[in-house]
Amino acid sequence: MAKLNRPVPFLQALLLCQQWTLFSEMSPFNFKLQYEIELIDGQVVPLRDVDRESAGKWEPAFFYNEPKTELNLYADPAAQRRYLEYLVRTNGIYASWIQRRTIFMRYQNVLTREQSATEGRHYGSDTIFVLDTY
Amino acid sequence: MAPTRFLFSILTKTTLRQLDKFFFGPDKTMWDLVRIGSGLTILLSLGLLGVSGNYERYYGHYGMLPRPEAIDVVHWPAFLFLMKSDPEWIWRIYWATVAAALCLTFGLWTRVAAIATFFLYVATIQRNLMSYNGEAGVLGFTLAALIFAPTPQRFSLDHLLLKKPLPEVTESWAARFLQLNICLMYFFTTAGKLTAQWDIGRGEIWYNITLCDWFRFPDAEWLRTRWMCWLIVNGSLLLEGSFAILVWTRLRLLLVLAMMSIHVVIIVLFGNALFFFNVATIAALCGFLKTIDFKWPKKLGDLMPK
Repeated sequence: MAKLNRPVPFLQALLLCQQWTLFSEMSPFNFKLQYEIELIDGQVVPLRDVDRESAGKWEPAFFYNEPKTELNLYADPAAQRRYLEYLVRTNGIYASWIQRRTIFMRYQNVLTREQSATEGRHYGSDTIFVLDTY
Repeated sequence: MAPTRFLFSILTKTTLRQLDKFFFGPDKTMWDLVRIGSGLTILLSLGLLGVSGNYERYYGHYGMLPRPEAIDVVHWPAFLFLMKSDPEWIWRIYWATVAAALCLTFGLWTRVAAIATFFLYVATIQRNLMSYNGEAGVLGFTLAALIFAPTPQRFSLDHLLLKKPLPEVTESWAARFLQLNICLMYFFTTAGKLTAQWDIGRGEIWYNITLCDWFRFPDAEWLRTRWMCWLIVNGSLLLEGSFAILVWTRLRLLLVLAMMSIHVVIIVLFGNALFFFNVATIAALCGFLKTIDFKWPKKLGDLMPK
């Protein structure tokens, strides 16, 4: 059984290695990853994705894959850092200006059916988790 | 010969004959639908990526995964993107992929088009795995099957324009590869759900799903009533779980149409992120349809499974 579970790089490279159990795991859907930098003068700047913003009302169609990309980023801390650097470049900020980078996640809590009936709403307060700071 | 040995010999011969028929018997699969559906899925997603600038954002030399860093982390098919330092190089790959997918969709030089589309699509996804979505997994094995599918196909330019005759002898193994992959997909998805948080009893997981930000109708309370949760969770688990077995019986057509309907419902209920996965899966499910399935029934009784 252990042999069956070994990675097969050739099949992985050709996208022929199935990983369907991924679909059955409940993903933390209600979250947004946010990226922020602190400049050397102490100013805190939230980073924006200018490509997505420039799409305007067409963003849900043009960037249809973005919710899944967020899930992929959530699962890969190295990719989160690379994406932050991409945002730094596209926001026109020089790396030498930056004192601290922070990646955090804003999670919208969903109440259970019983809690929801008591409180009269479905969503609880947001929780913020710092995923990475360096 | 001893009776047990004789019985074993008969059993072995029968099994081998059945296996031979299963993998190498004549192929009546509706490959046209698989080909056109998969081709359109790739073309439409490429169109959106190209128009929005998202293609450059994912796969560009200065995108989310810059070229110098990509060299150390990508799988080998992605080196197609990295082999030239010219930032415009990725757009040549883009147009080559569009051309290959167009040829595949219209069935022009079908086999070569399938090989080119498969490799270019795999290279694209591997260039930045942050762009990986469910459809990439489905299209991976569907395009691989299309490479080996019988050609030319009925509704293809190869046949209609270039007048290439339809193959007289066909074998089913390419279709079986596609079909077995789909069965594995549903089987493992169900097994995963049963062992994870998809409780079979109350189905409250559906309650949470209707409140997630991927769901289009969070205000529709009736979609999360207790009976609806129970019905949707247990119904979908039953259908997905039994598919891998029952699709080989006379219920095949009904089951395939039911699964296609489920994927259409998912497209309607959930956000755009799931659109291409479901379209790609519907195209792959066409691999279970046979050319004889949609002949006009002579009488109503012919519609029922025999």
